[in-house]
Amino acid sequence: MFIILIRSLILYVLVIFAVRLMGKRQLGELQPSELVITILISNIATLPLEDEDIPLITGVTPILCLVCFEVIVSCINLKFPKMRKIISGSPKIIVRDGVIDSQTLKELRFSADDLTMALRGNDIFDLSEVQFAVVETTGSISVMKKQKENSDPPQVIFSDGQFSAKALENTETDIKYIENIMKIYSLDLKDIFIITADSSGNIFIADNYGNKPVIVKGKNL
Amino acid sequence: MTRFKMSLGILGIILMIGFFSCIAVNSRCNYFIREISYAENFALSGDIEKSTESIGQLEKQWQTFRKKASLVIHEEKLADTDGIFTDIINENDGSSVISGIVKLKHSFEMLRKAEIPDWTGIF
Repeated sequence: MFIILIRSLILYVLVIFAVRLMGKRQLGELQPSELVITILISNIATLPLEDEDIPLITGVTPILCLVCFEVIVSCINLKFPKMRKIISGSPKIIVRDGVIDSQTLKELRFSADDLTMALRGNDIFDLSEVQFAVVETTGSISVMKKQKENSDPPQVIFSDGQFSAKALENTETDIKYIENIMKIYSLDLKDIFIITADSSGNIFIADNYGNKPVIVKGKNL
Repeated sequence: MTRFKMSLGILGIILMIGFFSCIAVNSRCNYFIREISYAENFALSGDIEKSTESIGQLEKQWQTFRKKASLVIHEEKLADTDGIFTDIINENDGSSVISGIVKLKHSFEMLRKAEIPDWTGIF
């Protein structure tokens, strides 16, 4: 009995440590790989608890290994965007400018009921109110309601040291236009953390050093 | 980045533990197999008493090793070896002692193999 008590205490501390090592994320915001690791850990942890004949180390080792692999892979994901895309996927736009992209919905195996349910979860009961909706990599849906301007939300056109051709095309933004802004504000692409743009020409530029971001409203340079 | 370094450190420690436990189990099992072979020679030459006596001495060493081995080896496998040791010590019949010794040798070979990563073990 005392053996089980001591083992439970050790595994409790270990699981808390493992979850802390993985980092702070809400359960609903877990990436697919993180969700799998969380389920695996909870399963593995029960084995040495149920069976005293199993050495504790054979339960502890896979838990620590899985968490360490997860942390290392998430760090690699940060450095290599292509790797991130393979492991976590990318957000999918399902409503753009009020138009439902049924092809993407099919790819995601989303029915009309799933879409309306997700919208209701965002306090939207009328499809005509939706300007823009995205299925995030975590599976949650982010929705933007229609505004007076009728502009799509800004998209990330530059991150991890490179431009996103798709986002540039979506927002009808020209790289030369961005380069002009950079020249005006004496910025270098090497120092840039993120650039977002929308179809109205609004640009947001943040650097790696925590300086005040550059915000350009409309195409008024 | 701290988490990344911690993860690398933990993985390094796990690798070290795995490596050294593999070496330790391997060398102790080799020692036991060698000693069992001596006992087997005694038994084959008809000296059953000396054979069971040396197995009895080996059993004491096994009990010390067993405590440490239980940290990394499944209890069932260790209990099997325990049982074979007891059978040999309490046996007087020559052929039973010899068959017991062969079983014991095989049991240690299995323990040694279980710690060495190979294709059958992995898949």
